[in-house]
Amino acid sequence: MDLPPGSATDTGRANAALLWAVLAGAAVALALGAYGRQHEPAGQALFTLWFSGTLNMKAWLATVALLLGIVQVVLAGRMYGKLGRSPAPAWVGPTHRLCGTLALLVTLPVAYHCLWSLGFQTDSTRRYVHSVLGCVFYGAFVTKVLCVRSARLPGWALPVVGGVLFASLVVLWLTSSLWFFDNVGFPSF
Amino acid sequence: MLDRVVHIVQIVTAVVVAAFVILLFVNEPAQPTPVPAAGTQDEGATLYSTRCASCHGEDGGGSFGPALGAGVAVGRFPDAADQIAVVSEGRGSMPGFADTLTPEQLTAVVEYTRTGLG
Repeated sequence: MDLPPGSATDTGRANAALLWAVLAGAAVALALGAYGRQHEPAGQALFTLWFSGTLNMKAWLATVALLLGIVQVVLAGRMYGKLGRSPAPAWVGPTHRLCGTLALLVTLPVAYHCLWSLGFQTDSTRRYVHSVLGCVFYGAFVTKVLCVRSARLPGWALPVVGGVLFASLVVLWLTSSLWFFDNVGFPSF
Repeated sequence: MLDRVVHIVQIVTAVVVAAFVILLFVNEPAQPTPVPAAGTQDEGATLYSTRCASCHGEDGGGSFGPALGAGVAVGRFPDAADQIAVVSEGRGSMPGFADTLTPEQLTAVVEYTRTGLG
């Protein structure tokens, strides 16, 4: 039975759906953090694709992810009428999803090496922040996917979760790729 | 058409996620090769090959760690003592080798990176 929007039961279900999405994301973030803490870091290179080194590859893949994230944010603004005056063209929605999926895809080798080879590091502020936000990023991603697929959530939920996801990606880039380009060199392919 | 592309990319991504999660638990790191006996021929080269090449590349061109060959090590450490200190104490993600290599071995491997790599 459909409930009238704004009714107490409707609001309760919306909050419950949001709570489950957040809990699922938190579980993923905690699981990644637990793995990073418990796993003995391998301290080894994996693959470099077409780059000169694993760190070079990671710095550039993270940069690609950030650029895709920026495109995704712009397209989200277009979809929700925050950018542009006319209604968004039909390609905006699928392109938004494509950018998000590709962004996740290019982060996977980066995250894998971070977790498997380096682990959850706390020996400097940069590494600690990076480790925490690496876990937060994937947790926020799971929460966002669940929010997108739920029609019950309050209207503010998706922008907030998407904002957390993008903000975590930005800080992850600042604490890794920017550090790499600044300390090792640019472009350092 | 675009929706179909998105769907395919999502499926590929899901498969890659699953593969990486499995690899996190089944991928065993390679065991380090024993340190060669002191005084063997080309000790620096042997030490480099067994202790450094996995991160800095067999030819010193870099991999997980930065490149060292083609004069890079000399450029970054004009004084060899500074490079020996880094190899000895470690820096960043690189472990220190003070506990596993003798001072003579540290000197030999550093010398190799400065003169024997490209």
